[in-house]
Amino acid sequence: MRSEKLNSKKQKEVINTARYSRQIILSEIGILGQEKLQKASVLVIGAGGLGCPVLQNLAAAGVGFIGIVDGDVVEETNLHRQLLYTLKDCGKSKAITAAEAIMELNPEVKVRVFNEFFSIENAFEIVGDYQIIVDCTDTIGIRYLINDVSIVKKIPVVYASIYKFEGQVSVFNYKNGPSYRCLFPQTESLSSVPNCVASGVLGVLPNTLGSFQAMEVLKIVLEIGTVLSAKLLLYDGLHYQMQLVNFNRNPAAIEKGIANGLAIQRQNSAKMAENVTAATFLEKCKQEDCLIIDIREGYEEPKWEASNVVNIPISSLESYCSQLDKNQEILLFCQSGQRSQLALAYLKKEGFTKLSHLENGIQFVSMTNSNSH
Amino acid sequence: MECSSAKHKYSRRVSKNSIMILNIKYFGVLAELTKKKEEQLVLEEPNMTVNSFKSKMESAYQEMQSVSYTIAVNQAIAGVDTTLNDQDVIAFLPPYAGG
Repeated sequence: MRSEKLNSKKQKEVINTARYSRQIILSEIGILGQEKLQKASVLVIGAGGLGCPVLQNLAAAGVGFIGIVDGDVVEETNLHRQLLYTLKDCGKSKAITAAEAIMELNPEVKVRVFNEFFSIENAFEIVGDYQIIVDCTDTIGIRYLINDVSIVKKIPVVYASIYKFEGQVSVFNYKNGPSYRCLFPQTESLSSVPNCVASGVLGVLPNTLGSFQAMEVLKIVLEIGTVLSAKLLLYDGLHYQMQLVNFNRNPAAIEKGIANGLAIQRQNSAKMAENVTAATFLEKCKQEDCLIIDIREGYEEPKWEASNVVNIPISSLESYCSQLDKNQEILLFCQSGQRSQLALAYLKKEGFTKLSHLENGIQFVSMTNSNSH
Repeated sequence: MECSSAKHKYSRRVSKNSIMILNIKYFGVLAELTKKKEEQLVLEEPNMTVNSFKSKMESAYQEMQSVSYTIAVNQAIAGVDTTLNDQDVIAFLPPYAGG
């Protein structure tokens, strides 16, 4: 039995090497290159027409850590171009379905799912410490958001976008290179830029452009070839025309991106600090200099006992307000986190400076607390 | 950069005749608005900047005013103050949203 197990383990290692053998054999890649891929972490924003081929190619190549961001569900109209999905997936989350599909393709890849749309509210939290971002979104505003966040975080962005039979590819913020705003500094009338829903698209096109993006990701990770930085690749599938346009860093555009990115980062971190988890809440209950206010009505259960907890029902908060120190650290809680969020917004408006609230309410805390005992 | 000086000499020679030929390429929605992928324009205004050319084009094709786009001259994104020369290839590039 034991030797069988050992054999099967050895066998598995052989198969793993076999999986990548055709790329390891390339002198530019080799075992070292494959190890770089295995350690790489890539965030793919959008699991649609561009995202599907990007995810397939990155997983197949053995990129070790892949994040998938998409809050959408699979629809039948996606199937002509989004080849990770089948008819039975319609109605299901794209991010989850795509994750399952690529893990089936390559179980060695670690996938993190963000089943939500990339937005100002979650941008910095999602981007975290990923090494490369792949912009596979379909909204111009989100492309600017990705750009501004990635300038602040100094993360390169592999960009592609499509229109009917045409596409654009470039790499932004790569080794201090130009950004999306350097290419398209104007933001006026951007809502009028049509996406695939409005203008239509031939299914093959995003698959071609997504493959170009995957190629750029692999080149960046492997540190080989010429990365498409400071160059915009223009592709016209209908007439088979391809050309490169050069562009430079535009300091004013970079500044604008940084300023916007930093403002979003401040909002994100303020929001993250304002929303307290159950674990932090329990810590704060032991912290005498933090005032914890139970804003529920007197009859609500379960009661929460701690020396720094006071009960001020939300209905009385306004009259109690003047008795509280505006620079005191205050943590608010209620049953589910909804009323405490409202109370936080009210106190913030009144000039209180160190506010937070228990994001999922006391019900969840008492549950986890009693479980832990 | 090396070619630009050669081009400059050439354009100076042509500008004596006060004629400038520009090769224009339209991408994405701009090809639809203008109903052409490319065209050649003969201008009798030498030393025109990208900005003044843009205004000229937007009065010829008024729908272009409502579209955001970037302009490339000879395969490089050009600032609004860039001076155009005879035989320049000018590309009108709108951002695409689709993904």
